[in-house]
Amino acid sequence: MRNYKILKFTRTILNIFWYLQIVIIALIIVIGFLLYYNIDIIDLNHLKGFNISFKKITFVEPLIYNGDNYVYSLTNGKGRLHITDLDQKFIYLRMLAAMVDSLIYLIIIYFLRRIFKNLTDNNYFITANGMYIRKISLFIILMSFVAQLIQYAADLWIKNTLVFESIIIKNEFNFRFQTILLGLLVYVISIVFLRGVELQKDKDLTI
Amino acid sequence: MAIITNLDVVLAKRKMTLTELSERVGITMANLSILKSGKARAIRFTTLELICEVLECQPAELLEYVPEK
Repeated sequence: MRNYKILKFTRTILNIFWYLQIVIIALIIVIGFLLYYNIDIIDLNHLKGFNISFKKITFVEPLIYNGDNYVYSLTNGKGRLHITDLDQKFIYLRMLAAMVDSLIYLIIIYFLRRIFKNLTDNNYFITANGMYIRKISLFIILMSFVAQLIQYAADLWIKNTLVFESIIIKNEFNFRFQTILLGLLVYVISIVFLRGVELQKDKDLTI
Repeated sequence: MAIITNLDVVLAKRKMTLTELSERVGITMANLSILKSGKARAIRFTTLELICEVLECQPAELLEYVPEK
């Protein structure tokens, strides 16, 4: 009975995440639409800002300390770059990356919801659950590099298109190694689970 | 599966019903139905022994190997 309550509670939480994720995807589509058609309902310049990683930013104005002027710079960091009225297309690649990430989350939540539905229906050791776990593992592995690949392409585009005197932009592939490991772990669990289902069937069909 | 059971044939020869066999052997009807329909993956020697004892037959009369095409 207590287990059932926990399952029901988790299902509710998953449902909330599910609808939140749908809202996020809808928002990305709406923002993309607003940017594409230059609709002035909101401040588009604010939306057009995009994240960059930089090796070095050298400031033009000197630092004044004890009456002396010093040249100073900022190194190795991340920031959001805003260029007023620049009609650039990088933002769409960024949005595509966010969209892909959100879609993968949505799919994972979908499979989780299906598993939890089966569990609340008292269907624990069934092949479908094992297959859902396997699919989740594959999407976790996808999550570790697909969006990052698009981000990398956007970074390359930005680096090769915009030339700044005072900023050295760097593009790096943020491969999520831990996520791959997590995906592999879930994959192994799915294999063990499916073997368990087979053994359960063997036991049930042994007279 | 390549192994088929001739339980229904042996039962017919002995003029015995599945229910009666179930009662005499002490195996549930559900399990005997699995065996009869060929869905069973394995059969314990103890179960086979009990069925053979009640039906007064050899295991070979109950089980048959038919190669799959």
